[in-house]
Amino acid sequence: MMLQALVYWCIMEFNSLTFAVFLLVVFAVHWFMLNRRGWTMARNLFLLAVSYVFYGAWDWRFLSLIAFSSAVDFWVGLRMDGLVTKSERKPWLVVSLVVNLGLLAAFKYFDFFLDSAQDLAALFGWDGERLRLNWILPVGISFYTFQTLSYSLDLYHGRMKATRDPVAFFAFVAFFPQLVAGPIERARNLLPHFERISAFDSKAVRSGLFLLLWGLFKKVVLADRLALFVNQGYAQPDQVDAHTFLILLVFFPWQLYLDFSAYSDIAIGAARMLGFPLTTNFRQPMFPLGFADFWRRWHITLTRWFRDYLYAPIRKKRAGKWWKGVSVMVVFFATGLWHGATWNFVVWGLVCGLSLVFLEPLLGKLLVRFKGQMWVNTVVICVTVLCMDSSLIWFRSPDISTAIELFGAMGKGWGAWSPLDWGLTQGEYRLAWMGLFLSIAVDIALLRKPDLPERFMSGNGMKRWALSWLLVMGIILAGSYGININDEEFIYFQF
Amino acid sequence: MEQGQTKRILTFLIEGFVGLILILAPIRWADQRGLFDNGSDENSVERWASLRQYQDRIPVDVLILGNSHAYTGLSPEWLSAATGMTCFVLGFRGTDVTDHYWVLREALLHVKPQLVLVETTGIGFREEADNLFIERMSLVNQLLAFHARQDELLKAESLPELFELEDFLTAWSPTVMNHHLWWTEPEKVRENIYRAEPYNPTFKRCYFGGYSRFSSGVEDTTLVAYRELGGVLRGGEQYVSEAHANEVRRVVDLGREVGFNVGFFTLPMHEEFLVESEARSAFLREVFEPLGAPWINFQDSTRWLSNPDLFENTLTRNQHLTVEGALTVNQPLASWVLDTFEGLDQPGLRGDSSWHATFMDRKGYHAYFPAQTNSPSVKHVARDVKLQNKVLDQVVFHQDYRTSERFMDVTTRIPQSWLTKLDPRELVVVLPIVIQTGEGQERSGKLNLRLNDHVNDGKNWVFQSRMNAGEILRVGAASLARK
Repeated sequence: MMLQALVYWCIMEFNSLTFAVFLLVVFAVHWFMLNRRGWTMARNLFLLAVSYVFYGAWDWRFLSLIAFSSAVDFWVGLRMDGLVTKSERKPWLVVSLVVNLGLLAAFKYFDFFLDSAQDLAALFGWDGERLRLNWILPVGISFYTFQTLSYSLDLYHGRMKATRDPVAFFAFVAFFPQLVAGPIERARNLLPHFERISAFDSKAVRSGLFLLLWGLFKKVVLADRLALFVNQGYAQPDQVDAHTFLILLVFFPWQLYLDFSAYSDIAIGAARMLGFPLTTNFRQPMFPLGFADFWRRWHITLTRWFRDYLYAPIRKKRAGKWWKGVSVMVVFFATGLWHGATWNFVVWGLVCGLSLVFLEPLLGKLLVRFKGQMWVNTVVICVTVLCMDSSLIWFRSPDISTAIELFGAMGKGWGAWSPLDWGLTQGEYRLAWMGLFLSIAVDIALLRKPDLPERFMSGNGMKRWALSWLLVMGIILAGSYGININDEEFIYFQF
Repeated sequence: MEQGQTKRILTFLIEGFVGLILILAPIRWADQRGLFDNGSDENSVERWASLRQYQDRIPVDVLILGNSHAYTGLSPEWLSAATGMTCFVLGFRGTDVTDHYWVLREALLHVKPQLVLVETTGIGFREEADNLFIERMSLVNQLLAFHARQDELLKAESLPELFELEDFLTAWSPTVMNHHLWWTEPEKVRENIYRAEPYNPTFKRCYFGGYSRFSSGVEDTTLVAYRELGGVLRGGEQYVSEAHANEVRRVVDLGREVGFNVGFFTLPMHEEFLVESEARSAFLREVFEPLGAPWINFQDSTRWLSNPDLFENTLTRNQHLTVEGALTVNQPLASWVLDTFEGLDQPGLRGDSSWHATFMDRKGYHAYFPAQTNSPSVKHVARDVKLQNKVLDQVVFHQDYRTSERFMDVTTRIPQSWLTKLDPRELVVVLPIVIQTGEGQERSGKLNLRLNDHVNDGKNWVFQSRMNAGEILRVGAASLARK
């Protein structure tokens, strides 16, 4: 009964009051009771327990997957430890890859490949009874699988030593702030923090709290407001014309960016409040100097994962531009598939890859030829943003035909559209644009002064208080939440 | 843990606490100023305001709890007239028995009723909400009912029982709940800002909580739809959960503890709207019988269930009584109350002057009590008017104070003679009258009055007619005629 009540109260998302209470309790217990010298294991046990409660609130059955995945990689780690050569370690890496990617394939990709195979067979007239597993996709499986895989891969490459503390390792894999949607941490960065007790750092905790509030503001006030329009547009693609297509073209990329970077900010903020540093996941990606620059700024931890563990090994096999292009396309095929087991994600990934292979060199030449000139930077940013924003139509559409229909809307002409047509008010529309301009202004400021957050946090206390107060009041009074509004899940929860 | 670290953590927590106050204080201020008020929901604010305003002057004898079924399906004024007691409907839209319990707790701070009646639609019905829309509508209604309450301590105590943690802030603060007004209805917020005081209604006369919403009954096409659907609601699905059964027990226990009677009543729905009603009745019986709680179930009274005029024209999963329906159940409910609960003090029957002063111009009063000539609603009274070889007790020409509709009522004791063999529904009273028209001319004519079937207390017959032109100067000897 107690456990049932506990779980009931913990069905939580980051943008919920329940999570706020949960974090407060974890924070208090963590710092007041468990953060003592020699209490590392107790602290880790506590973090593991609360992380499992956090995840189990969604569906406790899938805790077994995380536990199994963690156990296999911990065991593989112990086996690899002490083995001198890569060839000795290789069989154990294969075990880890087979188990982790096998789970991912079974839960996420099996039906997709089966459907595709059956569709293909049907083309040749072999149409029989359709088979499907119809398994539920466990939340965050792509994230924690990659995180735990990075441990085995780093051990294989000899980049780190295996841990002998199972509790620390399990807590590292399941650490609740980043369990469901990243950032995807490397064991060699985060695991050491689970192996020691850190002192309470008021400055870090304050900056963590501020980052968390900023993330909440981005999610509830900015991203979810844009979502109201985006959801309406994508729900009725036949009603979209050139006018509304343009709105979707602008709104969805910003919604996605604000939503996902909000999640990352909250995750990083919450972890920082508990004394764990997580890796930055976004760095003003909406102002990229080319496609490569975009991927250096967007979902940084995933891009780096693919760069280090997929692109680099393939690229190493052969030299030459042609092979480089193939490597890029393989990586982006995998990136598309990582996001979702549907063909529209594959198309999105391939479009991104093609942009990088064919357009990036042209933009690069332009940047070199007119180095430092403002107008060139502007042109490059505009071209990149336009291409990336268009590619995201594939990303957001539920299927390929919807995406094609939406692209076709450009030829429908400029209709007279009002937010009322989508059941929304002019006030909401104005607010959406105001939020968008605010986001642009903040990102430009951060581009010009990347150290602004640090300077702000160590600067005038009154300013910090005032801005924190404004953020919270903004969330309460301008947030897109309420009984009559569908609470928007974080978009990346589905991956 | 080192001393300095503890100090740093405490400093941080204190800062957080101060921050929390700095955030909650302006929201509290906005709540109190009513900056994000969105108006009252079917008089939810007015009911409490009236109860508080009149608590010292008009003791409430019968407190009726429930949801919209209670305040649309009952007329507290008619019920007061029929029982001779002050009846007050403290109902709130979309609420269930858990809300009723807390409403009762708060109401007891203001009144000491002799009897608490609970309408049973809120027992079990809400929990079967199986889609998001109904669930959200129920939550909205619950929140509005919660906002209408004022006692902070009781509200805090009831919060965890009524809402999930996620809804605590919305429940506590109308500002949080209605924050969207400043971009959906900015003129409303502007209006609230310029209003000197937050909305707090005052009443010249006590308001007893009724709210008529449905004036016409079920249409033929709707009846056809009921038949095609095989009913909109199935009694077998309307079970009572353990949680709700416990809430019923709490209400009964509270009555025993504080010292008031508790009874339950079920208002009917059309027989083709609610099918398998006996299953629903069985679920309710299982709850009430072990508690020994008196219960009257109008869904069992087959007399009315097929009459479409009594029921709301709806295909949603919620059917209320019409005004006609409310009047139909009034007398049987009053009779049940008086028969079931012994020893009730009836101020109307013992001639309590303040009670009569309160009700003498209200609906239903003239059907049960002699008209008071000083009543502002009474335009003309004639007594002992001849009706063939009988004498009518009174003829009253009166005007409804709210709707300004005018009625002529003729009241007579049910005779023990040959007239009893007649069915009064088949008769009309023909009353010669002399009126003065608006232009000052005298005109004579005859008025046909039909039996008001709702007043069926076994003592009097009341014949009534609507009469909107002129002022009565005098009435002549009446006669009976067949329709």
